[in-house]
Amino acid sequence: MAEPLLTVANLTMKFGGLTAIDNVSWTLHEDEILGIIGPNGAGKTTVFNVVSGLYTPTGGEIRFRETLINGLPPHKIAKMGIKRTFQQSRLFDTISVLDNVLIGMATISKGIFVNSLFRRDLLSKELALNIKDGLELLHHFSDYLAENLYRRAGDLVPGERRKLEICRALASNPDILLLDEPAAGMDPNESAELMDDILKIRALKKGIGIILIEHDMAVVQKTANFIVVLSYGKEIARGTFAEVSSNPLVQEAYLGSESEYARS
Amino acid sequence: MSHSNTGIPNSNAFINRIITPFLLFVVVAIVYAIVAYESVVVTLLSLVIGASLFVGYSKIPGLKEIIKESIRKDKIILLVTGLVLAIAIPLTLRSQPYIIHILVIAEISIILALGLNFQVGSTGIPNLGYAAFYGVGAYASALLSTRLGISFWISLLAAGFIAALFGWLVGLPTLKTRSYHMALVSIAFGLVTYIMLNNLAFTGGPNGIKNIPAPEIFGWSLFSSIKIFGNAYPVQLNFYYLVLFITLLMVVVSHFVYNSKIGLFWNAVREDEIAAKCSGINASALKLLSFSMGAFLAGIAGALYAHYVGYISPENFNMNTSLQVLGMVIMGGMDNIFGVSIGAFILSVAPEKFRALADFRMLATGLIILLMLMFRPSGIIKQQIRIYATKYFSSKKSSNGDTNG
Repeated sequence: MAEPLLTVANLTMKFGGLTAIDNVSWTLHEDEILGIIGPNGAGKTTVFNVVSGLYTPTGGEIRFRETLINGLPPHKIAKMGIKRTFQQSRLFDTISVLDNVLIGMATISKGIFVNSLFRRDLLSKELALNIKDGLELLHHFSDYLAENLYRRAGDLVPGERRKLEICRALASNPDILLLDEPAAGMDPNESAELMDDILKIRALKKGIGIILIEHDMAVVQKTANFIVVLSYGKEIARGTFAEVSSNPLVQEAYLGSESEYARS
Repeated sequence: MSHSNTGIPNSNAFINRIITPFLLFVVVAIVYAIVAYESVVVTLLSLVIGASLFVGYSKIPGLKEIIKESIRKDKIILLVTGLVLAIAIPLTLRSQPYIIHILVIAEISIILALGLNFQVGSTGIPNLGYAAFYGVGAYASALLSTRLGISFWISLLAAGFIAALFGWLVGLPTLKTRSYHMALVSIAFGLVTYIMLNNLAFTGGPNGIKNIPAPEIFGWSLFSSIKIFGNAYPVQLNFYYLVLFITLLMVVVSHFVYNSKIGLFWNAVREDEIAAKCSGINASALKLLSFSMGAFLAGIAGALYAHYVGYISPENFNMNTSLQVLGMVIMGGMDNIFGVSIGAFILSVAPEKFRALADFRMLATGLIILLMLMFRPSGIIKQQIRIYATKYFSSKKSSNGDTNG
């Protein structure tokens, strides 16, 4: 049985009177892709913001392996090995592709102050290693990126941006990768490429756990091993894609109930 | 142009090789003419030549690449040439101590602008109260040497560290704020410092501090003029070389920081703080570091100023100074050490050249900034893409790609 990587128990997040996440529990195992789906406003991205440390949950607990991580600042959570991408890809736009990947390695950089000023030899050794790893990673996902290392990230087309964001998150060899709607705004061809990329991540990084928030059901169907469906912050269903998609509650959440139609 | 090693002299390659040093000399000559001659005709003529050179540079398509290539290839030669010129030129100004004085102030401004560049350019922290750090450094050094009789060299370093500590303290409350709010907080800190300097007893109030001793090197005071071949040189020259040395040191430090993980992570914080945090960067610590390091440079600049002029008062460190240094950074080019240095040089020399305009000379400075922002909004030298040396690319797979300049 695969080891549990991330355990979320009774997670609750309230903003004033609004409950964005209501008592949600699930477990992510090694080598697993967990899909989180649900209609807009279901609280999916809030789950990521809580797990990655941007928000402190108002209730429940999040454990990474055995360690309790709720309330830790984002950079510490990243350092433990939980990396994420963003719904609107947030790259560092005015700096180069290569620099974006190097920043992704921030958690594995040592002694940045001392090395920068006094140990230039260590700095250049680390840089050489980082650049080698970064190039290798970029080559796995996109030859275009690997050949245009000095292009400004802001000048890339959306498909390449998405890939670069995934590379940036993977650069430090995380144990868990959170993908927030990677297929948003993509055409079917691009989505197909994305599916390959997600499966590629699993092949490249042994044991990595991936959580995927997605609206594109084709992507979810092909990649996710297990799915949790949220609606208004509450879990309404879980299981494999086949189980979840045949669940009447899920159909109601996405399409509205028949009684509602009758009323209107 | 790649055949230049075949033994046959390639005239094209030769011209390409010498065009950059030639342009360097022309630019230095123009600057020299503008700075050293009081005549308005010379100034205007030089400005016209300089402007046409600049237009030529941006209009002739191949020139940019040639110059870039040559800067990359002959970096060391160009740097040594620049250094030799910087050392030699003031020797020709023996009868014009005032010009040397302007150059010393320009050097101090370069240190100041480099420090502010850490904050505004690299980290993207708007700081409109930077003169506070400058003032803290100047007063710290002046008080240490006048009250406690501490030697210049120790008080110089102490000024740097005291200012850095002050910068760290100022940084703490601004961590929670962003953009406009942060700019407001920095203005408040600038004003508070100015008012404190004006009203505290131990800072001498509005009268400031007088009789700050000159630095001594092994017992030899910098206020005694040196004689070369029987010609006595003005005392300003001593300071020129001292400050030049420290300025170069600060340029090297800035260069190290820029080309390191610190500079890179600062950029990440500037571009997108949330993404930076989620990439594992401790944004708060890096912002505080940026505040402290910028303040350290300001402190050093303040100490140099205090010991050079020998008299400081709160008026030297008011809002005006903050804005002037900010102008230098924006005009020179954010996050570009060379550009910022040029910006600092121009904006500290220009007001002196417009002295004939008397009360309107700040207007001239404003006009320069306005024109710059209209025609070259990203500064004299744009923010560059970091290029990593080929030694870092062990595999042959990588290519240079293209760079935007």
